[in-house]
Amino acid sequence: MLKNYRRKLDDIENNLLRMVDIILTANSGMLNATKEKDYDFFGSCEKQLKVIEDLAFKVDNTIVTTLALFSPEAKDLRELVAILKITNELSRARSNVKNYALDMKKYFAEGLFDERTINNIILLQESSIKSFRAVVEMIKSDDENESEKLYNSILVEEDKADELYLMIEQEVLATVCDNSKISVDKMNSLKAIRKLEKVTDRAVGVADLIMFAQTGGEITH
Amino acid sequence: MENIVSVENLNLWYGDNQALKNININMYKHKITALIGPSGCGKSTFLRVINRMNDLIDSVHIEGKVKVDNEDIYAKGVDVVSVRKKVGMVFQKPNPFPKSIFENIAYAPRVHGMVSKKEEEDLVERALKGAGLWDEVKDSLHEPGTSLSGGQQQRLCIARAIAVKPEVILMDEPTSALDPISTEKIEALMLELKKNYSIITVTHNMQQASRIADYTAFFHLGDLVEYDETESIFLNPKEKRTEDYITGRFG
Ligand SMILES: Nc1ncnc2c1ncn2[C@@H]1O[C@H](COP(=O)(O)OP(=O)(O)OP(=O)(O)O)[C@@H](O)[C@H]1O
Ligand SMILES: [Mg+2]
Repeated sequence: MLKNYRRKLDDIENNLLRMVDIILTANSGMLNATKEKDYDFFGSCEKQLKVIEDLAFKVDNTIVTTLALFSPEAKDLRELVAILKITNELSRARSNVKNYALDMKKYFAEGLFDERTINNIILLQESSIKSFRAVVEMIKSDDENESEKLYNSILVEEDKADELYLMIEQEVLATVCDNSKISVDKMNSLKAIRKLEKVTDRAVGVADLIMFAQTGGEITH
Repeated sequence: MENIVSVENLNLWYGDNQALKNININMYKHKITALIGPSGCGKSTFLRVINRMNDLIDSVHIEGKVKVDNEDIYAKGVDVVSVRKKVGMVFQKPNPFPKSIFENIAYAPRVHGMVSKKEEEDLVERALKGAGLWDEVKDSLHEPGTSLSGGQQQRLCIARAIAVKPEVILMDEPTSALDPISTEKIEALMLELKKNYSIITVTHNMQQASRIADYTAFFHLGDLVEYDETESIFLNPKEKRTEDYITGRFG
C-alpha cells in the first residue's frame, strides 16, 4: 500500500475514533451525573457533541477524495463505503444522545423517577457505553474472530437495552394515574429514555457495517 | 510553494506541424507532477523541452521561455550538458548501458567530474540506496546492468539519474513496461524521491496519476487544457474535455 494512501486511511480511522469517543464521553458523563444526582452535565454535553457533525463531514469528504484518487477494490472498497454509512449512524447516535440529555435534564430535576427506575436508567446508560466501547475495539481490530466476538457482545447489549426499556416503561406507566402535569411529563420522559435505548441500536448499525467491511457479503444496515 | 520549472508562452513545431500551443505552466519543487492526455497530444514533446532533448531533432522549432530553477535554459550561451545534469530523464523502456551495474551509475558523475575515483563507491552505494535497489544488487555490482529484471533495471536507471544530483527528474511512462508489483515499487520510490527532487512524469495510467501525483496537467492536441492539484482534476475537473478524458468518455 502506498504511504499516501495509508495516510488517508489513518486519517479516516482517527476521526472515526474521535467521533465515537465523543459519544462515549457524553454517555459516561451522564452516567456519573445520574449516579450522583448532579444533572448539570446534561446541559453541557451538547457543545461537545456538535463536533461530531464537523468530523462526519470531514470523514465523508476524505472518503470521496480517497475513492477518487486511489480507486480501492474489494476489502479496501468495502471499508470506505461502510465508513461512509457509519458516519451517518454516528450522526444519528449523536442526535439521540443530545435529545436524551436535553430532555432528561429537566425530568431528572423534577424528581419524576423512583430509585428502582433510576437504577434501570443507569443500567441502560451502561449498556450504551459498553456497546460503543466494543465498537471502538472493532474499529481497531483487524482480526475477524475478535470482531465476531465483539459484534456478538454488542448484540447482547442491544437485547439488554430493549428489555431494560420495557421494564422502565412498565414502571413509569404504573405510576401514571391522571392527567396531571407530572403524569404528562412521565409519558414524555419515556420518549426521551427511548432515545437512550436507540443509542445501542446505532452501535449495532455500526457493528453490522464493520462486519460488512471485514468479511464482505451484503450491506444490511 | 517554490517553482522549479516555469514555462511561458511555449510553442513548438515539428516542421509545419505545431505540437505544443502556447503552453504556460509553473511546476513546483518537491512535488510530483503528472502529465496526462491522449496519444499524440504532446506529452513527450513537452517533457523533452524541459531538458532540451528536442535539440537533437532537426525539424524542431521552439518559441517561448523555459526556466529551470530560475535559469532560462534556452538562453544564449547555456551549456546543454549542464541542463541535462540538472534535469535527469527516465524512459519508458529501461535502458541501462551495456556495462556493469556499478559503471551504469558511476559513468555520468565521472564525466561531469563530480567525484574522485575514491568517492565513486560511496556515490554508487548512495544512488542505489536512493533508488531502493542496494539490497538487491550489493553483491553483484559488477554484473551487467542488463542482467537485472525489468523493474530492477528501471530502478537502476532511476539510480543513474539521481547519481548526478539533478534538480528535476523527468519520467516518460516509467512503469508502462512493468508488472503491477514492480510498478508499485517504482511508485513508492517516486513518493520517496520527491523529498529531494522534483518529478515530472508522463503516464497513460489515470490511476497512477491520481495515486502519486500532487499536480496533474491534462494535454489535448497540443493544448494544456487544465492543470491543477490532482485531487481537483480527478474529483472536480473544471473543463469538460478533462472530465471526458479521465472518465473514459473521450472520442
Ligand atoms: N520527432 C518527431 N518528428 C515529427 N513529429 C513528431 C516527432 N515526435 C513527435 N511528433 C509529433 O508531435 C505530436 C506529439 O507527439 P508526442 O510524442 O509528444 O505525443 P505524446 O503525447 O507523448 O503521445 P504518446 O502518448 O503516444 O507517447 C504528434 O503529432 C507526433 O506525431
Ligand atoms: Mg509519449
